[in-house]
Amino acid sequence: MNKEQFLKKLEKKLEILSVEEREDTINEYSDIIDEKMKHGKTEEEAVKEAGDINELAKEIIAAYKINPDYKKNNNSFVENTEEVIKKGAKKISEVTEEVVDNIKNSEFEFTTENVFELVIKVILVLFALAILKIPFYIVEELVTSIFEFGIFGSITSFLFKFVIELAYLILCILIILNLLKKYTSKDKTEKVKKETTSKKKETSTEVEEETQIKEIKKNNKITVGSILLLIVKIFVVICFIIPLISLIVAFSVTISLIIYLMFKGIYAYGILILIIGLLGFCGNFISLIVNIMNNKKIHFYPFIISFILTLIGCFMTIDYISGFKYIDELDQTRYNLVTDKYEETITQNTIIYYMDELKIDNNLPDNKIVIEVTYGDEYIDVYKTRTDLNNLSKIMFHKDIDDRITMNTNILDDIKNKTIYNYSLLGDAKIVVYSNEKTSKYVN
Amino acid sequence: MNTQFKKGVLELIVLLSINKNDMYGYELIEKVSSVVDVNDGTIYPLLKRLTNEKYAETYLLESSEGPSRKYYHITVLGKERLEVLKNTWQEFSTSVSKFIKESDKNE
Repeated sequence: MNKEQFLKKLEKKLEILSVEEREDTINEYSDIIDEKMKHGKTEEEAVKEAGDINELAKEIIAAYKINPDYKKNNNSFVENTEEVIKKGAKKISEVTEEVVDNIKNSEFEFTTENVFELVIKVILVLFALAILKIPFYIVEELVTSIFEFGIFGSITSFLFKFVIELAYLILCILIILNLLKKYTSKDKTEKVKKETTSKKKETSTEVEEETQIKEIKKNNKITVGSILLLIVKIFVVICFIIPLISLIVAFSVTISLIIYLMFKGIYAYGILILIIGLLGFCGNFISLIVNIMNNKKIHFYPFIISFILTLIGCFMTIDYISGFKYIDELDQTRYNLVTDKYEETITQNTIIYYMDELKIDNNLPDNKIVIEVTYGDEYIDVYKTRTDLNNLSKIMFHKDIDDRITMNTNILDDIKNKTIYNYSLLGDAKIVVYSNEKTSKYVN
Repeated sequence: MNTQFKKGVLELIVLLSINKNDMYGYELIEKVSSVVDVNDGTIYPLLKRLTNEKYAETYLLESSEGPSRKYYHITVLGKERLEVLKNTWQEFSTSVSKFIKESDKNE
């Protein structure tokens, strides 16, 4: 290992130290190695004399009385989840113990006033928790309706429902525990305040007492109100952020589509910029909401940037689209249209589904008609069925969409040339019927 | 040589060295290595510890040969510590030597 590598490795292992200490150590070690090389050792030797780099780092960190076994992000996934579970369990048990202690020590007087207050608060909280369920429910329904097909569908939707219900339950438990903790510990502070006021009674004035009582009342309101606020926050998050995220995903997909088209030679810069602007908007909204929730400063300039982008994109798109020509037919030379000819003998009234045109050709014999079906055989298949009933014949043409539909390079070329044809005709079958005058009376 | 022995007296040797003269990192490492064969992996962290525990303090001095060097200087606290360590060593080495003598006698 050379000096650079060694110092780099060492720097990484000293991550936990402050910048100055880390730099200081690295600089000094660099000097020491340089000095050794000056006195005749090779770089390799000088670095080797430092010993095992792990030991070195460990000892250096220990010199700062920091636990050298504390590693950030180096734990494996399993260890991390273990830690999280342990912490979670610890937290819950701590909170429950505190709550139990507080309840034991609380001086809750069972006056009618207090009891009613408590009951109202409980009802409020339950109501708020019920409202909290709504966004969870919406998400549940959305996802299950998307996935509800087949065996796997019902299994995944079941699992998903289960996870959501569980998350909601855990959230409720945490909220309730926290509430209890705050509520009962507030009693504790009340008690402490009462004690101090009684001690100070000899020296304090009545004004001081009043302000303390007001403080206690304020603390009272904070507990339930702040929990309601928290629930509103969660509500906002789920109702706004999830749709915004889906919009972002949709926009990203569109952007990749446009970039793909660019590789094929279609340069839709206007649309690209427009979508990027909209994407920016969504991102800005999300960060705005997050900032509001965390009471951080709200910046408006990102919005202005997205707005400008969207505006520019809009103009460019309009400009781009206005350069397009629309031709209400199909360029026959490039789109393979085939014409199938059917000869039919009819003796009674016949309905042809769906006849576009009836042309008279008197060269045809009686009771004979010719049906020409024109369609693009790359896109659809047309087949005929005929039913003859007692007083009516029906000739029907059915369209089957070809499963082998691929993006016709013709369409891409058209877009490149900024000409749009009436592509719906591709899926259309034009049916022209020829018959002589006499027979035409039978045909509808 | 036994690592445990080495680590125990390292602090003593370092403090003795800087008690005589202020020294910079490389100098100190060379000096201590000449008395006891340890790698810098043991010495350097010790220097850090002594500094953090205020037994030594550091200052930078411009050097004619290149970048400024960090010198280690023993503090008053460090001198007191040195005395304690010296006494502990004396007691320790005397009683061990005595015990060796006695054990040899009885062989």
